[in-house]
Amino acid sequence: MTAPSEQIIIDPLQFLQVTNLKKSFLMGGGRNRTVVDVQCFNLCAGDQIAIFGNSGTGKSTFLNLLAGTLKPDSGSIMIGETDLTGLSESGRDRMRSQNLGYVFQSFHLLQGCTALENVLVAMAVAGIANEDKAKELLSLVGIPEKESSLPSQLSIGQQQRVCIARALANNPKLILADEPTGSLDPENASRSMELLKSLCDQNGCALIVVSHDPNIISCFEHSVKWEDLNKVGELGNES
Amino acid sequence: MNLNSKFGLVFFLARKGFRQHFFASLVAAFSIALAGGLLLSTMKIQKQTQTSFNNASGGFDAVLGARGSKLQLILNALFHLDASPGNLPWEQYELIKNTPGVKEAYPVAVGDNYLGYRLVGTDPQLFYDHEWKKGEKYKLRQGRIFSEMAKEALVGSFVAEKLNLKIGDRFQPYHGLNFKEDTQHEDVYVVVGLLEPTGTPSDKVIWIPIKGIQLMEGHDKEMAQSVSAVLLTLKGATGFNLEIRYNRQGNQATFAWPVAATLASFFDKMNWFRGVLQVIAYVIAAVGILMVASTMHSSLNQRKRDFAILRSLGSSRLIVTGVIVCHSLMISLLGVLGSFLIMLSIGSVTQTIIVEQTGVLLEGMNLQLEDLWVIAGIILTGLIGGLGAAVNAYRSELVDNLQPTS
Repeated sequence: MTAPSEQIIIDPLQFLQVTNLKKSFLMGGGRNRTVVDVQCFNLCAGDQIAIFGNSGTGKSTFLNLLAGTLKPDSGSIMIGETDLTGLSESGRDRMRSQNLGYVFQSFHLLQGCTALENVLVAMAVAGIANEDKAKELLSLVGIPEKESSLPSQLSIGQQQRVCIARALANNPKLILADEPTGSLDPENASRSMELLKSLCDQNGCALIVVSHDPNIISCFEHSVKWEDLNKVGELGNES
Repeated sequence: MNLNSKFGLVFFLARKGFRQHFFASLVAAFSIALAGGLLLSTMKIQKQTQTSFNNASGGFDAVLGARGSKLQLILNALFHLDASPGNLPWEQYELIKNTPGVKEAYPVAVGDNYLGYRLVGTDPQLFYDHEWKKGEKYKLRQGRIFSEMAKEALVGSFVAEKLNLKIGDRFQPYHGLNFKEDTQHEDVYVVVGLLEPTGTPSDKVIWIPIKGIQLMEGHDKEMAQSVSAVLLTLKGATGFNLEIRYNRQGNQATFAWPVAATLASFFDKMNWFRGVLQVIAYVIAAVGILMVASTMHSSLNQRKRDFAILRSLGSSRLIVTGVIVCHSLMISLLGVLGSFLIMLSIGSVTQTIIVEQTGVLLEGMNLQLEDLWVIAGIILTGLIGGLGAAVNAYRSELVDNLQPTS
C-alpha cells in the first residue's frame, strides 16, 4: 500500500495498481471539471486502508473508477494481471461480479427481495448462487434469523449487515466501501466496521473504505487523506 | 429455479418486479385480456354461429313456401324464427312431393304456440325416416311418435325441460306464434313422446300432426287445405331445375335453395356488427399497449435504483433489459390466459342466448391452430408495450442512479 506522499515501491504482491488515473465531468458552460487525478495508488492482497477527506471531493468517483462502473479519461487500474481500463463494459461487469464487493452508505438493497435473496442475487450474477453459503454468510454477519425479512422489515444496522454479507458473497478479492457507516449511530458504526474488517481478514480480501468519520478512520492501521492522494483542489480543476 | 443461469436470474427478478407492481401489472394484463378476449370471441362466435346454423338446418336441402323472401322462409320453416310469409295450397305440396329428383318432402304448418313455444304440424314419417344429420335420425327419450290423426304431441327436448312436460301431460295450445293468454284454443293435446336433444331448432318445438294445425278450432277454413312450407331433400341437380321452375318462371311459390348460401347471405348482412366489435377490440388493444407501456415505465422509474444495484453487482445491461422484457412477457401471458377466460365466458353467455332464442347449439369455443396468430398478437402487444421501458433500461447508466455521495 502506498500513499502518494511516500516513495512508490513496486511490491510483487501488489494486486491493485492505479497509475495516473484521471476523471473529469462536463460542467455547465462546456467546461470540464477534473475530480480525480491520482498518480499512484497500490494495494497488496488482503490490505485494508481508509481514505478520508471532505465530502464532494471525488472519493466516491474514485471508488466507482476502481469498480469499473465509471470509465476514466486516462490512466490504468491493474487488478492482478488485468488492466480494468482496457476492458469492454461487459468485461468490467464480469470483473466486478467475480472480484469486487461493494458496500454502500445507503446499503442499496433490492427492496423486493428478502435478505437471503439479496445475497443470492449477488452470487447469481457471478453464476455461483448457493443458498447454503448465502445462509452461512447471514449467520456470519449475525442475522441468521432475518433471512426471510425484506429490507423494509430490517433495522438500519441489520440492513448494513445484509449489505456486508452481499459484498462477501462472491469471495471477492477487494471490497470497496463508500461511507459504509454513514447511516449508522456511532455504536452500530464501529461494530459494523469491526465486522467488515474481521470478515475481510478471514476471507483474505483487501478493503478500501472511504469515510469522513474520524472514528472509522481510527479503526484502520493504514489511512490516507484523499487530498494527498488526489492532485486536484477541493473544488476540482476546471478547464 | 436455477439462479445461476441467466434466464433463471432474469425470471426471478422479473417475478419480483411483477409482485412489487402487482396491481398495475394486473390492470395491464386485464386490458390486454379484454382486447384479446373480445377479438377471439367475435371471430369464434361469428364462425361457430355460421357453422352451427348450417349444421342445424335439420338435414334439409331446400324449402318451398309462399312467394316472398327466401331467408324468411328458411328462418321460419327450419329455424322456427320469424313470421311465416304465408301459406301454400296443399296441391303444391303434392306436386313437389311427386317431382322426380325430390327425395323427401315433409309439409309443415305453423300458427300456434304453447306458452311461447311453437307448435309445428307435420307428417309423423319425418321422425321415422328423415336424417336430421348425416346418419342421425330423431331418437325418442321417452314415449312414442304421434299418430297422424290424433291430438297428440311430440315434444322437443328444450321445451320439455323448460315447461317440465311429461308423457301424459295435457295442454291447450294458444293461437299465433307469440303467447297471449286470451287466445287459448279449446283443443286439448296429450304429450305422447319426448325427443332426445339434437342441438337443432327442432328441440324448441312441440310437434303435432299437420292436421292438428290445419283443423285447430278457430282457424280459418282455408288453412285446412294449405301448408306453411314444404321441407325438402333433393337428389343430384334437381335444385337447379326447381330454382328455375319456381323462382324464375313461376310466381306461385318461392324455392329457397341452397339453404347454406341463403344463410351465408344472412350472416354477411351482420358483418357490420362483427366489424364494430373488432374496431372496439383494436381500440382496447391500443389501450392495452398503453397500459403495459405505462406500467413498465412506472415500474422502470421505481426500479432504476434496483437496476443500478444489479449493475453495481456486475449484471450486464442485457440482464437488466431482460428483466423488463420478461416482466412484459409475464403480463402478456397473463393477458393470453385472461383472453381465453373472457372468450369462454362470452362464448358461454352467447351460447346460452342462442340456444334460448333459436335452439341452435353452438359448437365448442375451443382453441384451434388458426387462433395462434391472435395469441401471438396478444404477446406482441405486451412486448411492444414494454419495449420503450426495455430500451430505457438498456441505455440507463449505472452512475446516474447510484450517485456518488462524496
